[in-house]
Amino acid sequence: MSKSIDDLVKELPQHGPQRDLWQGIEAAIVNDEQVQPTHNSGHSSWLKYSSMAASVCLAAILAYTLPQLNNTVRGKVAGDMLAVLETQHNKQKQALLVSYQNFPVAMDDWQTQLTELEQAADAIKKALEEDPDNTALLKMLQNVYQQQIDLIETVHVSRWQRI
Amino acid sequence: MTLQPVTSESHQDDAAILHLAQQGDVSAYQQLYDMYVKRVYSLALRLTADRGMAEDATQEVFIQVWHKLGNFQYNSKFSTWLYSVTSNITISYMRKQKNWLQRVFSSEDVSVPELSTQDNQVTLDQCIMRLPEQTRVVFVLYAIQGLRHDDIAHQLNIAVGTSKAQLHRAKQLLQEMLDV
Repeated sequence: MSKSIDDLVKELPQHGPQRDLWQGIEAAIVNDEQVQPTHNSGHSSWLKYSSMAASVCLAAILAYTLPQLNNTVRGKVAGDMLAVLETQHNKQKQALLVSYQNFPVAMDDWQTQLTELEQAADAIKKALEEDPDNTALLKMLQNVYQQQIDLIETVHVSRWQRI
Repeated sequence: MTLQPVTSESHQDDAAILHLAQQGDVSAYQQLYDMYVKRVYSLALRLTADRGMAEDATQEVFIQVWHKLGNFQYNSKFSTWLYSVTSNITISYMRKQKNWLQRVFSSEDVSVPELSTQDNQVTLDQCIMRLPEQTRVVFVLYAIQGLRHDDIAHQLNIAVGTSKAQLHRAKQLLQEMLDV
């Protein structure tokens, strides 16, 4: 009977996965390449808007791809993409602050509001450390980042337009 | 697992695709994925006896292989190297799962997955998936993948004699199941 089992082994069929695994694999390997450090240091409106678009895309990619990954990979991908999101936001925010530094402002307490938004972002990031693939938290973080950008632009642009 | 005959022409094509993938060409890597996903998944499925875990392990294999491609030196066939990586990653993945150790070291554990039958015939695959975990893993690595007992013993951190005993047990159990 042992021989017949050996014969049956030679005839074993191949099976295929039921879900599409490639999308998750591609997201993981492409994301790893995106996380490599960049050498950009200048600021331009192109950078500003492309950064904003990239942040939105990253959040969308996260929401779409994370459910397709296994637990081990999901945590790593979420962590890496969160790092990309944070880096892009910080670059954009610093670039805006530098470009508006000599402009008058419309609200005296705008920096307090910005600090509160930064504290909110820190709280969400802390929650994400415990639950890295929580897409609701990631969207919340993206929203708080966007509020920071909107605040900086609003307080400066409003006064500029009034003048 | 039925291995496909490898012609010199297809071997050259494989080598060209592999070379492109090693250069970082994602579309070439996708071709490699398409070529090997079923064989990798089949191996992972027989090792884990669980579709979800096999899919997760397969995904992890192809992600890790992408990063390890530069280490492949053409000293062996790519498929041989890939299956070796697959069994290592899958077994490592199984170890990480909750209660894995309990299942492996419990001699009489048999968690039988629900398997569909065709024409009321019990297939060898179905019987393999009904084997106790360590018995199944040894059988898959020895009888299907062609590993030696000392390699299996090293990989599973068990004695060579244990590996041989588990293979013997696997064949006995399979014989009983197939005779039913």
